Amino acid sequence: MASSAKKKKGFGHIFVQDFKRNYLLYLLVLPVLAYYIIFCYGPMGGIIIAFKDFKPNFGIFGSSWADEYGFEHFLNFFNSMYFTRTVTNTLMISLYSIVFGFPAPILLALLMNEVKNRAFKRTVQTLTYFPHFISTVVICGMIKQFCLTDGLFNQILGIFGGTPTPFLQYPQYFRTIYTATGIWQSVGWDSIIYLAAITGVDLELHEAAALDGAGRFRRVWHITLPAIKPTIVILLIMKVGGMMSVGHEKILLLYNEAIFETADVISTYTYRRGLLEGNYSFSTAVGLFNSIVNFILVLIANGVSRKVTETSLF
Amino acid sequence: MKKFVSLLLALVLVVGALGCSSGDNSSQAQDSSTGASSTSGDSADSAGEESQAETEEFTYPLAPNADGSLATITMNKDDFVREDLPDYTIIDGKSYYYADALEEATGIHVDWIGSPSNPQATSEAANLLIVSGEYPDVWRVNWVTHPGGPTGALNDGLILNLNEYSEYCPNLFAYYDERPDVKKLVVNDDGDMYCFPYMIETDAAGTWGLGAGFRTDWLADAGLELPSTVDEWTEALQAFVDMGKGGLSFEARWLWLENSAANLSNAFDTMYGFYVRDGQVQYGVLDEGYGEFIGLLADWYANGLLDPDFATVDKSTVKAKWANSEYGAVMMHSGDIENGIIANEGSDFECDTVPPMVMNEGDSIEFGHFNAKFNGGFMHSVSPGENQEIALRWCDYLYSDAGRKLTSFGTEGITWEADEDGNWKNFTDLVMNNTETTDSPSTIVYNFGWKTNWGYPQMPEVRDYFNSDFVNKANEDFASNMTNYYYPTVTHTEEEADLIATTYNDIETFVQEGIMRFVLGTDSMDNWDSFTDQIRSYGIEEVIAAKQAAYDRFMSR
Repeated sequence: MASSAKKKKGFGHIFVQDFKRNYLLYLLVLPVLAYYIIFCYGPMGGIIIAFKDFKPNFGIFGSSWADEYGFEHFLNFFNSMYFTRTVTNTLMISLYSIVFGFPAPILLALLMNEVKNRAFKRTVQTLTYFPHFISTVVICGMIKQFCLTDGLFNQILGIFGGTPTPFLQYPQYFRTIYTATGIWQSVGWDSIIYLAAITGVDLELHEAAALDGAGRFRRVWHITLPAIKPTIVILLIMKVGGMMSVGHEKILLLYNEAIFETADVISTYTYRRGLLEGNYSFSTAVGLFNSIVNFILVLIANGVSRKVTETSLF
Repeated sequence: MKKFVSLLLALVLVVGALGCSSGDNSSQAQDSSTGASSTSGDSADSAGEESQAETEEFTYPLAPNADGSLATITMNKDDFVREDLPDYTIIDGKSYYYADALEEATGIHVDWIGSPSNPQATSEAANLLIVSGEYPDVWRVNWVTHPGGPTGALNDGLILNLNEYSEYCPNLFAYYDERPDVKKLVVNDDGDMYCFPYMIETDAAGTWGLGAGFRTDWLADAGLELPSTVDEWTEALQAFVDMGKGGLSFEARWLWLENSAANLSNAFDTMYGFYVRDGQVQYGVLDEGYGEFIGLLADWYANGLLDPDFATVDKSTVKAKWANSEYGAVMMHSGDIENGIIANEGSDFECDTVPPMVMNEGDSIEFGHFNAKFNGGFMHSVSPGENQEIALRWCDYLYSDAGRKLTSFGTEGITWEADEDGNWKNFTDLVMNNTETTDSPSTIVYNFGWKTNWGYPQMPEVRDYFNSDFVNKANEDFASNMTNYYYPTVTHTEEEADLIATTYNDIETFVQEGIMRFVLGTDSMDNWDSFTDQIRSYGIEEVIAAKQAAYDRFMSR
């Protein structure tokens, strides 16, 4: 009792001292802290509407509880004829993005690091960043045009003698289109963090390795990659944690009834059924379910990574 | 320097955070201003009542408040109510602005609250207002599609039951006493009048009639006439393809929206979605004819007669394909078909519209594209509160003869002239020969009140006046007996709404996907029967029963 009180006092003491010394830093962190409290933790109580029949005019607390001990909306989702399909599609698209999309910025960063010509490097960087700044709506409009039978892709295909195919009308092409355009859109931007990590690599290591006769690939493999491994692992864990939430904007803008089979993901289904119909409780229930699965995935990925690479988020 | 930059970044962060909250502040400021005005409105209210008691007759404009300010009501913003309706310069230098004219005529000022939103999100924005507890005096919300429906909104105390306030809206009730047929559309099942709806008073769909147009110059080259039967359509489309052009192009969404594809499925005596035949609600996709119709589209697609991209093309692409002479036939709005001629003026581009497709020559045209008089889209409702009487008066003004004319034509003497009976005769030079603007006369009139889609019965002349001969002919072509089949805008009970939200939405996705698969040939037409069996197994019969029950209640209103 006494010791804990002493400890508490000790912490308070240290805090006050630290605050006096670094009050500017605390001031700096204040807006971010406020942001998280106001916009992230504050609204979390609203999750309760997943277990209620939320009606806007009754408010969150005035709405009545949902049937099935509050789990009506969850059961609705699990029993929906599209449950399996949307979950599969969501996971498949995430998997594609991780397998193909995740290594792309790392490769680009490694390549960029080896380029010695500054002008060339800057040009390439600017060009690869560029798609990141174009609005998704515009990007999707372009993709749709490219995929038409007389669009860019088919014209390129035509040079090699392919028959024009409306790519966005056949389910088998959708995941490829989604992933490939996703890489094009984000590869430059995502490579920035790796470039930053690479800058931290000690040049002396490179010089020493070069003296020992290591070629470029050897040096990348044995020096650069291990040096940025923590960054890679942490980003991968976070990516795995987002597997259940595929961004709906791009898919909503790209899909059509003909390719729902592979393109309809949880978020688009929820959008159609939850938001367009004003069924907020249903949307929240699905969102909560997604978050729980995502959280479990993060825990698993984190555990695996701690065992295998000795790097982890927590 | 580095320190400076990081400080600057931090500053940006803080300002950004403040920026968010300052948005709130401004809305709060607006709150307080509306609060102030509502109290001032109060005094006007009592003044209005007094004058009513004295004179027994209410007259517009409403008397201003003691301090000379106008009585003010609030209205929620949506995409269709823009404060930036353009004003038009009168020839002598003064300008005309519809919103000012309305304010002057009613003596009531309108303040907007809430955030503007696109039409689909309107109910979302409305929900935000509902949650905030700060109701506008006049709602612009489509209560028909709002969860819970109009009855729910009435029961929850969001809107007034106008039946109980008829003394404040004489014009509305006078109008609907004259038009019992229309009144039936706009009350709920209990006979409660809950809104001042926007009514399109003309049977002609104006530029919004939707149907098919054909290139007559190409047809003439092939020695063909405008097609009417299925075989003639196929022949004509084949002829276009043989010329190295495209056959028929349209957006796939027209297969489901606004009964548009009924232009084609008429040949098979059916249409997509729900319709009514002899008092019985039908789900068209289950009709035998519908399978044949999809079979025809699949044949067309397989033979290259249908746009290969039709599942993904959007409106602008179809319009471009038509204007660039890539396709021999299109299905879109009559005005857009005509634009092909306008865009190709001086060339030999010739086109014409055709009536909905039939099976045999001389068959009657039953199904076609149809715009309902009232689909719930736009309406004004009044929320209970201190300002309710002024709000009712304001809404009711738009239903008066003067208000209708003001919103449809603008102000008499400035934008239009009347004949000796006070009826609209013609537009003035401000509209017809305005040299100060590049807008066409129809656009100018559109910018008076039409654009607002407010809750008023629009004068029929305004819609038909500017139609070109082409559009008028198109509207005649696209006419059908759809009034006999159209499933009206009903109000659903909570159980029905639940069933539709859970069961029918999933079925609809399944159906639309399936139809696309069949048309694109990724599924064989041999599987059509098992497809319809599956639709039944998902519980479509229950949905039809619910639709039937709602329809029966509608009919007995």
